[in-house]
Amino acid sequence: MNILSDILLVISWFIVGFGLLGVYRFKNLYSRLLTSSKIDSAAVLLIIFSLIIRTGFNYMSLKMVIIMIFVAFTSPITNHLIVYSAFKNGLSLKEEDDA
Amino acid sequence: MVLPTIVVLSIGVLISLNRFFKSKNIWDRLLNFNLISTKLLLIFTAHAIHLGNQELLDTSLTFVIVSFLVVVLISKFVISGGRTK
Repeated sequence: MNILSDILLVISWFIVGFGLLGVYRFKNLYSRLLTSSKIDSAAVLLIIFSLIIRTGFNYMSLKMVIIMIFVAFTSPITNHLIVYSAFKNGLSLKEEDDA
Repeated sequence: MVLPTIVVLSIGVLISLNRFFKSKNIWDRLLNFNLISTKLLLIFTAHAIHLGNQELLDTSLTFVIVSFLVVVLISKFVISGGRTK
């Protein structure tokens, strides 16, 4: 079971690395939110799921399931609110170098 | 492999912190703040598993709730034009 957990952790390094590369390379805020939400959803679920596999079924894994459910519900809400706030305040959707 | 994951996530926090101080508008800062808080959550959780400590998981659960509230409240504050009422 530890080998499966190690493989999932190594996959999560690549997700975090490519997400940060996308945050640096994209020119627009809306494109940058596309890759940052990838870290928020995919890497968090992958790392916590691999840690649940590593510990087995006990009281610690129950707490991690609660954390995983909370993150899975709230990370789309925060990304949506950032986009909504930027669009309401008139940030343009065109391709531009704003940062 | 838990300890190298903590090292990779710490390097990611430093890269996001560099981007946080170089960004120009408020939404870019909120994006990078969201990234930093997510990675700190993962560092807390992986450290709790590495030590075998149950109470650190309570700390990380509290940290998720507080960081969610910070991002939501600042976004609502900016939507309303900087006025509270």
